[in-house]
Amino acid sequence: MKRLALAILSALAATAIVAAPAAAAGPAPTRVRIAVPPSIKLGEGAGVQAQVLDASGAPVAGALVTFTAELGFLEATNDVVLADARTDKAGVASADIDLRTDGSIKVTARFAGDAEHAASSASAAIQVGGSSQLYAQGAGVKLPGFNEAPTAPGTSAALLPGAASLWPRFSGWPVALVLMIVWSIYGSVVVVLFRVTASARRSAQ
Amino acid sequence: MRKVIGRRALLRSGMAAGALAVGGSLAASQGSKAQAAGTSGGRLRRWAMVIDLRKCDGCQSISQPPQCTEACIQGHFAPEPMQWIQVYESPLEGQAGTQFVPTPCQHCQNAPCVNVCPVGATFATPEGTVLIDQMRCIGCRLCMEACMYDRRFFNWGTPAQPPQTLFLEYSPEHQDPAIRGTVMKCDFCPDMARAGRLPYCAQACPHGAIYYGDLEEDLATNGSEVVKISRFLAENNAYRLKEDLGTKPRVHYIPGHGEAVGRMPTTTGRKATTWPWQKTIGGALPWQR
Repeated sequence: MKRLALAILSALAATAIVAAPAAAAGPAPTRVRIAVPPSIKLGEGAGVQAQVLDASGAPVAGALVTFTAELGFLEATNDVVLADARTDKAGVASADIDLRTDGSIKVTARFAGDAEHAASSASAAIQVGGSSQLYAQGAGVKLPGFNEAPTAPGTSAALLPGAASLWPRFSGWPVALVLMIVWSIYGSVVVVLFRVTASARRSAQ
Repeated sequence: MRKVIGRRALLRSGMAAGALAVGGSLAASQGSKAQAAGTSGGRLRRWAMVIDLRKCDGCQSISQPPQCTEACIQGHFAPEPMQWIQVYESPLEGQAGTQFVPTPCQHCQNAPCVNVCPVGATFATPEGTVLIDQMRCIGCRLCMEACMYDRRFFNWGTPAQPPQTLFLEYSPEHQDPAIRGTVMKCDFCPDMARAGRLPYCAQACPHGAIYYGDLEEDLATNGSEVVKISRFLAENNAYRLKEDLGTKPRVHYIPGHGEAVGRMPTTTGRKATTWPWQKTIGGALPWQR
């Protein structure tokens, strides 16, 4: 297990940026190595690993590693916590992360340190690609053309307080099609009624 | 000689005129769909809100009325007595004291108001916001009956209008200018989010209790901190109001009573909400809900 983890880390270490260990007077310095897949598609989880080593290169077991990604939304940007995991005997912490932002994402593995070990971190980039919609809209009455974004109301009329549309607007062609079919059926029924009435009159005469 | 139009010809022409009317209205309507917000990759946003009640003290600490409500009123020119986001004080379950619960429209994914509107004036957008087209609303108030969160308000009289609204182009996304005889409510400010800004309530909260986010990217922010929504909710035992009714609200709450900002649950009461913009114009007459 230890050999496998080390082999995986060695193989993927080409993309990793190893951070300098934090200067420490009391706790022993450590360093973190991070291994991430170079690219993933949106909606696919990514397995990431980080190894925590002490100054002599020996693994640090039981260390809590936090995986974060530098992400921005509206007015703010900061390191967003994606997952955390503890290292095993080989000093390796593994986690599955779910990135839903496309582009090149900087992922950081951070060991906060403890009484014996100093804090350290390492970062690597993951290229996230794809354009598939991930969040599916939940339940609700769904009729084509209904409950959808309306057409923009008349802007000139909107400037007059109290103005309102006199004629309903249709927001989808399926609704119009259904309406046309229904009214066609009504029309055909009226025609048949006229015919029946006329036929009855003729019979009476 | 007068031309006699037969019944068949009359029906045919009537149906043709109907088809033309429907087609014309469709053609007029298709060209001006509201622009949807997208991620950098072109995916559609799915707006959501997380309110961290641990950080909400009803603005007791600053001795002001709840600033989320005030900012919403000021930003939207909401007529008195409308509080689109209202801060309720409710008793804490299982212990003495109270908590403050800012309550905007819950923007349900299975919205009863949408389902009962007879004219399609209340509608759900693909982004997940539930909006009202006041130009289509007939004022029947069925939606107000259907809303189990009591988050809809009716313009019983002619609402006061500040001069600024006369220059605004009406949109269901900001609902200005207000129209007599129609329903109004929190619109989730998708127009502001599209412009890269937080809604008024989130901007104004002095403790950063209101997070506004996108379920598509699974990110939300209160202006200073970005969080991953799914993790934030799961780690903090988040809940939604009246969840058992199956309305699937887009507003999530993290339980608390303002303890993160030093509020004691036994310190009750908050300052009354005001409508400062209405004082700047004359003749504004509020009505009772």
